Amino acid sequence: MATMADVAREAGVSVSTVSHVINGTRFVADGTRERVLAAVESTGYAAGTLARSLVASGTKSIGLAISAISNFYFADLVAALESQVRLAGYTLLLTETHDDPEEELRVVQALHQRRVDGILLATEAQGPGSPSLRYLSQLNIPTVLVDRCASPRFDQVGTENVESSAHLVLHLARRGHRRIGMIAGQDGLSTSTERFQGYQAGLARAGLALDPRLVRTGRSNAETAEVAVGALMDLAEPPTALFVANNHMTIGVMRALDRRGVRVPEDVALTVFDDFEWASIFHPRLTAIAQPIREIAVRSVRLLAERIADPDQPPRTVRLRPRFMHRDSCGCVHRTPRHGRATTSHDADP
Amino acid sequence: MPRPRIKDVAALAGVGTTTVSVVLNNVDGVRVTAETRQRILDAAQELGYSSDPIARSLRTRRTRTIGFVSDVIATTPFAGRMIQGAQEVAWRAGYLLVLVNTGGDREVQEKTVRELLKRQVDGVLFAVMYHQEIEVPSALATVKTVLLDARPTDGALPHVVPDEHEGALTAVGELIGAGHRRIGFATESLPVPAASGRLGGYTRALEAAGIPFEPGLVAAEHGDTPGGYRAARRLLELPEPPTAIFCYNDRMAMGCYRAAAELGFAIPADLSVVGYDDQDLIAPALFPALTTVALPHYEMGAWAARRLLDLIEDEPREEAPGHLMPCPLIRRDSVGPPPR
Repeated sequence: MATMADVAREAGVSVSTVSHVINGTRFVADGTRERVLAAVESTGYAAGTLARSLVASGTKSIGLAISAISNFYFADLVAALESQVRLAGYTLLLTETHDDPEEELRVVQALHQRRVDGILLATEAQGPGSPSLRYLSQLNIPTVLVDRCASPRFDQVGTENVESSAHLVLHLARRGHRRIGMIAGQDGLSTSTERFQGYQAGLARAGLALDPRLVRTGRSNAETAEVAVGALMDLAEPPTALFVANNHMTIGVMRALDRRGVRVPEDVALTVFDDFEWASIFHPRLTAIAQPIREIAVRSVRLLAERIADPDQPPRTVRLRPRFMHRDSCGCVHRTPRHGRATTSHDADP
Repeated sequence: MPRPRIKDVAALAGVGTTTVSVVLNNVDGVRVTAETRQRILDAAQELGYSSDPIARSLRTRRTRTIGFVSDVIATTPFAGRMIQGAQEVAWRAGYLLVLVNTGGDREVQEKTVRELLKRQVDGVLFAVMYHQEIEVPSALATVKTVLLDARPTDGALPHVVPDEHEGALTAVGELIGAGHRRIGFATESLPVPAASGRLGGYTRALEAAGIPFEPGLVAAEHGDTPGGYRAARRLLELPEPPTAIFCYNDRMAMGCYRAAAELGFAIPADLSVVGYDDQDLIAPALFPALTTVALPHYEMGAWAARRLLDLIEDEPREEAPGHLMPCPLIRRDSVGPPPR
């Protein structure tokens, strides 16, 4: 069985450097850390034992690494995770990744250094090769990827994005739309990729060809989405319907359309990913996919508790079905909602 | 391989653990020969021993964690910014936040605070969802605490709240500056500090401009969108309607927009509107975009965290315990001159 000395030899560094990397006790230069982690992998150093020793010295705390600034939906998710973590008998340490790979690694290391029992991570990683995911997997730190399912080598919990996006696009196609545009999320995020795949699948099922000119990235924020939708509406043949891939971009889209005097759903029909508390007070009320936030929190914390109890079990991916909130922006219901009238939302098929 | 411990270093160097501790922690005033010191450093190096954060925190009696206790703060779309402000300041100083939501229940509050203290947080930020006067949980008496968006009913705990009076003064001043004389106030009917503070700012601004206060131009309702709608309808259906309405918050302004549209008032040509909060989802999204007063949640969170860190690290302060955070005006497109 490989020892720390074997890892050190393999990596060409001192034992103490290996120790610092593995225990997160001191800053180690990126190149060196990479060499050590590679050597941990190649020598098969007893990562499981390490994880068990962490369990033994557990602090009854769980670290959450998330970019709350990037989304209102994450603020709700933080609240839901906090209550689940507390119910499970842990406290929650909150850190902010800013959706930046370097910062994400730093906060993961800081949490590890604090001896958290496990980590909940909404990663910006595009695959298992990202620095933070490599760090977590090679040190076998109990981890659940939340919201963004970036690597099947980890336990992960997220919303089913592909089918639900396809559903929103197909819903528009069945209303007779042939030119359906998409405002896509930040490149590289797994959720952005999956929602774009869903858009393509929806078009294909409706027998519509993908026209790349009808897809613009809103980079997951309102300001870029505002510009992006402007570019789509300036096309010689603008889209008659839009699928918007998150809530912030929806705000930008609504603002841009308002400003141009484009009416929803009369001139452009709209379906959007992410429901939020305020979706029903927009005029018109938004037809949206509501992510099952509480369920995501419940399942994430449950998986993490199981992972902490048994670090060696095979990883699991949980995809949760979101709810379809059928309202007015898709053009299905033609009436002007007056204030104070009860609003109805229900699950429905396209 | 288990983590090397201080006793492993001591055994390898052939000295006692106290000597190791003295050398590795650079304790002053204790004599250790250069040769022994070197032997200990070599042994520590060989074993990969380093004083780890948990051991360090035992020594300094600090855990470098701060409790962030709130009622339902994280679930409101804009007040999450308070957590972010506190989080950023704490992180830069090497502290982490432990987040606890109590749901506003007093018993849960007392219990969670006691739990947190058992975990030896260095201090607590106690936050509420909107500006209130609160009774501080008794368990907080034994730990350094700063209140966030709340004023203590008793005692003089450090706290930060928005400067409601000044914010309203600025908002109404903006309308007066645009030439308005008949200015309505659609406000919250509950007796909360924000409502009284903003009413104070409203009347003060009128007084300063020599405009007589008309109680009929103040319409109090629920501080939400339907409430704003009802309040604005009442004001706009007056025989002599106001040419501008200052709204208690952005949601009421949103209701006001609807009332204006239904009654045929164009904003800002026939009616100017100013909100309060600068809520991301509403103020910039309304058309025309809403001129409003920002509630600086991020800045309040950051201020409270800085104040708490100063207390924890025993930085002396001369300031008064309470801080009024300025609420700046955010100019957008909903204010124009009054119609002729």
